[in-house]
This record gives sequence, C-alpha cells and structure tokens, in this order.
Amino acid sequence: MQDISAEIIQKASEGDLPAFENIYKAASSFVFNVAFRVVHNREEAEEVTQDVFMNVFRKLKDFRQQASFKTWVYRITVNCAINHYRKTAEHKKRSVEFDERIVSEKVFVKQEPAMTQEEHQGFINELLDNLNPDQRLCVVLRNIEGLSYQEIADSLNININTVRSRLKRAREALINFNKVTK
Amino acid sequence: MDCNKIQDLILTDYIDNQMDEKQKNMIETHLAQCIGCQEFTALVKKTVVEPFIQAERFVPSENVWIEIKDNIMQEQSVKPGLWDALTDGMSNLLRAWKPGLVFASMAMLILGAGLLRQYSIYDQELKSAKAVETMEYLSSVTQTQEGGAIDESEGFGTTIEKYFL
Repeated sequence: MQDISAEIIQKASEGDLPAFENIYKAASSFVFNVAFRVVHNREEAEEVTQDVFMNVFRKLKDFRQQASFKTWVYRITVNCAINHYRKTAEHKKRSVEFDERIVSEKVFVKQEPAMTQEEHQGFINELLDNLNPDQRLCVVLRNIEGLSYQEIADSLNININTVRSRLKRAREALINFNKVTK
Repeated sequence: MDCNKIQDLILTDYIDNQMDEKQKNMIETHLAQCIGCQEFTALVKKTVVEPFIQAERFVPSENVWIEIKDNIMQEQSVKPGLWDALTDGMSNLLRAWKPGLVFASMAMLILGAGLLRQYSIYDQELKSAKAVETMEYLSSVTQTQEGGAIDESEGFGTTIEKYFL
C-alpha cells in the first residue's frame, strides 16, 4: 500500500472527497486483493472493498494521527473480508462437494509444464481453500501482500507468535496438500 | 539445535526473512551439513513460496469508486437528525472534557473516601457513647437490685399513698 500524507488524511476526515479519492487510489489495490483472496469472487470482493472504504470514510474523524494509517486500513480490511467470508460460509459449505470434484481436474492441470495465468490463479485459490480463514489471511498478508510479521500481528490484533504459529500450520497444510495431490 | 526445531524456523522466519543475521547464519551452517534440512528447504520454497510469487494483482472495476463516491455524497447530503446532533455533541463534549472528567472523578473518589472515613469515626464515637450509657444504666439497675428490695413501709410520701395507708 502506498504512503498517504497526514495532510490528505486530515482533509479527508473533514469530508473532502478529492482527498478521500487519493486515499482510495493508494489503498484500493491492497483492499481489493486481500478481499479477493479471502472471498474468491470478484463481485463479493468489490462489495467488501466498498464496505471497507465506507467504514474508513465514516471512521476517519475518529482516527488518531499518532496511529499508523496503513495498519488501521489493514485492520478494517481484514475485519470486513473475514466477516463477509463468515456470512457466506454456510453457502460455501454447500458447494464443497462440487469443489472436491473439480480439484482432481485442476491438479492434473497443475502438473502441466506451462500454466496459463488463469490456471495459476485457480491453483492459488485451490491452495488457499485448504486453509482456515485465519491461516488464509496470514498467508495472503505475508506471501502476496508482503507484510512483515509485526504488521500482520497489528492488522489482526494478535500476538506476533500467533502469526508464526498460524503461518507454520498453514504451510504444513500446503505441503501436505502438495504430497496428497502428487 | 535438532532438525525439527531448525525446520520450524525454516518454515517461518527463515523463508520470510524475518530473522536477524546471527540466527540466519546458524540456520545456514546447519543447512550446509544436513541433507534432510536442505531437501526440506527446497520443498518449502517450491510448495509454499513459489506459487504465490507470480500471484496476479487484481484491480477493482471503476464502478467501485463511483458507487463509494455516490454513497458518500448521499450521506453528506442527508442533514444529521436531532439524535445524531445530540450524540455527536455529547461525544465532542466528552472528548474535550476528558482530562477534566478524569480529575473530577479522582476528586470525587478522594472526597468519598474521606467522608466514608469521617462517618466511620463518628459512628464509632456514637456507638461507644451508647455503650457507655448502656453500661451506666445497667450498673444503676444492678446497684438498685444489689441494694435490696425497696422498703415499702417507708413509702414515697405521695397524697394517694397517704390516702390508702
């Protein structure tokens, strides 16, 4: 996520729309990508992105300048994404059988020497599907968004050692998935 | 350090480059002489790191910002109701008065504690006075009883007594 100046944050908190658009431009890629990796659906990810920015706009006047704006946005993003995921989890449970049927086909595709970009994205989604929402968020924030352990801990409001243990378990699950599908 | 502990570190801090130089050197010294951990590192890089390196970055459609902007403009055009104005006013007031409120609460606590102590001393004095009074009364009753029965023949010298006697 790009840096945002304190002046822009101040203006946006006073309701200045062009200033808020600057915040959107700097943060929307991060917000949308995290949301997309959690919910796996473009429309839902756009819905989450809207929720995140409406929350940011409404809460901006209460935002204290001493805190890190990035971490604050990360936190709102992961909360909105995880809440949306949990709301739709029941529906997703029902489609598990269907997903399981298509895994074997996708795995076959994975073994091909050159994967298309679309196939590669499908493979990443498949890997993330093996993880619970907490582990998935840690992997997305670390492996895709490149956040440090401390930034992940601050975003999820958890201890840094919890970040370590979630990443460890997530990666063990990914290694096992790889062994099973070989 | 045994291989299990080394592999735990490889799976997290080492591949994420979240460790200091000293720890990193320790892992690399171990890796230089342990084929099992070398293979494990290769497996981790292949299955856990590489798939995400080429992860595509997605861009939200332009409609997302348009909808956000519309929602904000809609919210801004709606004049705050009485309740919103009241709650906003109260929260601003509380925020502004926060140090004063903290001081007032502390003063109230100290005052309360002082009054309570004062009351407790007064209550104790009252109780001890009552106890003295009770003791005196009991003692007078006891003395009367110990002094023997009242000599009825002596009488009290009242008119009615004289009449009957």
